[in-house]
Amino acid sequence: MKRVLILFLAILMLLGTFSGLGLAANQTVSVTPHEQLSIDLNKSIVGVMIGSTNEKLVREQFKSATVLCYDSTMDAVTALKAGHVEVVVIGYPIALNVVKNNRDLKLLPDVLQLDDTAIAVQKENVQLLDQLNVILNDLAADGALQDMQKRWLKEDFSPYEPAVLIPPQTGTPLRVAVDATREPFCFKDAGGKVTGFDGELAQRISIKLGRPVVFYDAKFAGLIPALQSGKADVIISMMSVTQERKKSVNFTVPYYPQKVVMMVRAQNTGVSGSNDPGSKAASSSSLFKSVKDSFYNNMVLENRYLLIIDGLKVTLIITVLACILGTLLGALVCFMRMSRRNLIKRFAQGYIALLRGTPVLVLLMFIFYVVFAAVNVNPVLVAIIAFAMNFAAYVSEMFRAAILSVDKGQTEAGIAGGFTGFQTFVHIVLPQAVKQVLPVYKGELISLAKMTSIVGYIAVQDLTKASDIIRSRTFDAFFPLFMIAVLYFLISWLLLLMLEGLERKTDPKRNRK
Amino acid sequence: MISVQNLSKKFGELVVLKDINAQIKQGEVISIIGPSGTGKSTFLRCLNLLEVPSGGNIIIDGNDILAKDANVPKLRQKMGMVFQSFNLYAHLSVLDNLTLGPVKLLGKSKTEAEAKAAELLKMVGLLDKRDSFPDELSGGQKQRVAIARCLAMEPEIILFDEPTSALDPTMVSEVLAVIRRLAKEGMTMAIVTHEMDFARDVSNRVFYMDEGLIYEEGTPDQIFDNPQKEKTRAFINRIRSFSFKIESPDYDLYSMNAEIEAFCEKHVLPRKMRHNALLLVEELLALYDLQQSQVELTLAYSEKQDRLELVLESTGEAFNPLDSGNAPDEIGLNIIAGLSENVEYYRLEEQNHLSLTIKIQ
Amino acid sequence: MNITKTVVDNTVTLTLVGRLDTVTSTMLSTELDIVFAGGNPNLIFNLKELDYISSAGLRVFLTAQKKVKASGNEMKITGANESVKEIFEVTGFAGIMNIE
Repeated sequence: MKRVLILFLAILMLLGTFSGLGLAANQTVSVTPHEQLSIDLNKSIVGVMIGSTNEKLVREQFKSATVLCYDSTMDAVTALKAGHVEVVVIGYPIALNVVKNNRDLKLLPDVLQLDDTAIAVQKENVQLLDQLNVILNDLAADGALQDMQKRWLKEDFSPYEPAVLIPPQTGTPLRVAVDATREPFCFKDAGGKVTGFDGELAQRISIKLGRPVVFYDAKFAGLIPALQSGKADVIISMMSVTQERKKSVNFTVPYYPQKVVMMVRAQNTGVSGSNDPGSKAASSSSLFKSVKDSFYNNMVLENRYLLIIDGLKVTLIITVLACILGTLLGALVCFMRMSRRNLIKRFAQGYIALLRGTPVLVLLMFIFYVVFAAVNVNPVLVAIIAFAMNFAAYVSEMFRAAILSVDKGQTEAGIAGGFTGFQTFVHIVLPQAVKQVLPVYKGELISLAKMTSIVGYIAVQDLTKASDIIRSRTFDAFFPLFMIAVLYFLISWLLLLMLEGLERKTDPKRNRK
Repeated sequence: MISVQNLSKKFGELVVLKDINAQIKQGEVISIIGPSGTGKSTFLRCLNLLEVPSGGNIIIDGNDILAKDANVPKLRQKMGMVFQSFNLYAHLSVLDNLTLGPVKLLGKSKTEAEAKAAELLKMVGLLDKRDSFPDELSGGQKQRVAIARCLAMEPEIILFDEPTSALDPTMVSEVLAVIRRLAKEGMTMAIVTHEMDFARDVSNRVFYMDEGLIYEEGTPDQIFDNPQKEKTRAFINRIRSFSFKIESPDYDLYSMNAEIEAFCEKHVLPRKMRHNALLLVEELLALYDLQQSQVELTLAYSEKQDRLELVLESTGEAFNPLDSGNAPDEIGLNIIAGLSENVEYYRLEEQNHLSLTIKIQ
Repeated sequence: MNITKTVVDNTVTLTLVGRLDTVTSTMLSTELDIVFAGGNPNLIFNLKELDYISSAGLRVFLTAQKKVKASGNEMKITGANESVKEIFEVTGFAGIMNIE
């Protein structure tokens, strides 16, 4: 245990060096003139949001640039800070928040384009589209949209001014898909409620429609599948209107023209970052302070640790239940695979080949958006089923190998001794197979625990998703990542301990009288 | 007690047991001997249906165990089996190996089973190993535990499938001693074995198996001292043989020599015997007119008598190569005479038979 | 079989290594033909490393001895091992040849 603590501290110290660039109040954003830029934009490596118009834009404007696509803003920002990309092309309001919280990053003054942001609606739901267009026109006409921009999209970083709205509580719910990691448009407030520009817009629409609003929070890439599969009625999540998206959804009239700007590292602008030169030789006390600040911002402020704890619970629940269910299913598949009946054997072989050949993310999305498309099913349950199915495919082969590794003579001795085939299996083969399989099984369980980090795609708020949410609020690139890395390590370690306990218990020589 | 009628067993196309008929009576000790690959183990394994026979009947105490409604596991409880490779339950201690069956199958209490197990372990001399695990025992100890494990089920018969074949020679006797003791106590047993002396003095009856049959059966004295059939005799005297056909004068002397050497090596014949065998073969073949006749040469080694016999069978006219008129000079004949004894020539069925024993002094 | 030939004055030494049997004895007799074509020397057979000899080999020795004796020279066989010696014994060669 002591060793683990030391390791933990060492990691904290280490990440202090990365994330020591915390909040500074009332900081103004300086925009750098072009000529001082030390990188050639035409040949640079550019990070953009996946599926956004920006990708096309960058390819047109900077012909020789390498374009890397990111799933979330903070992933792109992290890549920028780590030097994997040189430029991030990004919407202005979010960019503003990022540079506010990361003084080593700067915005370039150019506005590459204005990007239309609109609400996405299912193709077939023309009625809702018409209703929304009327509502958006009204909101524009009576100045409500202007007012919202003033209260949410602030350049001076004064506190947001949320409107007090009382949406209806009864009626057919309006299910709004969002990726609540896009402050100031949609993010989660201290109480865990979806808020921001898009959050308020959703509430205003809900009032006008007379339908209560229900948010469905998933990774951005999962929003359109959610809409298409009928898990949500609309997407209000700062979604840009693109030709590709128009093929799968309908867009309302735009409700906000978003400026698209470029973000670079301060050191590439010729002006040093607002880090004063002396801070390079930071004393250990300031290092400790920056770790403390990061810890405060990412964990304590707005009770963010609760997000982590909830996420941890979800991750544990999914891992443990998927493991149990997967082990049982794996045993079943294993018996089918070893069956003498050809049809059953083929079926099991097919199952194993299919499941092992499919990325678990694809399986997860398939089960959620296709199999359970029409059913209102708890996404945690879907995650458990998907991971159990995947786990079963892997462990069934391990079980089979372990059973086959038990010497045939053992079975013969049992049979010749008067046991039935089943009794022989239970009393003689199984205990030996379990002992064989445990070492490999341990490894598989740990990789299962880590694999669950993708459940954010189907709106499950696990440990990884919790860290994404925190990162999107604090704009701290590294600390939350290290935080969950440590937690994943602890989970794996705990699972390992449990299985090793079991291993000792099943070792007959330890129970010697 | 056990009656086997017309038992046959095929593995795919391969016929292992052709037509086995046998009776085993209460209290009998039957040794099953014979060359490898003649179905001894398969026969034994058919008795408790570890192998399912392809045809025939097996009646145990009046019950046809091949009948559809036969309770085979129940029948097996009364028939212990001791394997060549011991097959102790690897995950259980010695004591638990002995109690698993009685507790789970005979419904004995744990204490009762353990008391009985301790008694049996004492009988096989391994009480102090009760808490050891199989991988901590020597081969001989494992086999004694395996026998005790059978006895714990209080069987009516024990089948032994080559119980000493996987043992170091030093450990064979400790296992045989236990089996001898069981024989003395009147246990019914069927033992597949290669230990001839043991088979001879422990059993009431001996089955000699060959060609998928019980080729000859009888008391140990009949089988070991006065076998009636030729194959039995060859087996009992442990005769191994090797043949080579010479069909033209341009035969490959060296490849034949290599085969003779391999045969001698396999049976660990002394260098001198090997040398003389090669020389005799060369000299004898030099006397034949290989244009006119074909010669088949057989070397037969009797382990029991430590004797190497050379037989040449040739086609064509009556011809004894050792008649001095047939040889170009005396040199070859002198060599042959000097290195061999018991020379015999006869003509039978248009063939010339010449046999001689290789002399080593 | 390997044959090595050494000539000292009027004495030719043939060292035989391996097996002297039906097949290899023709090699030896060819070699001897060459020796006799060059003159009528004394002959020494060194059999130290000869493992095996059959009647075919003995016949070559016999022929050689006749030729050597005819020209009044000497032939000698040296270093034969136990089993080769035994063959010389049983064939009576031990009595008619100079075997050391």
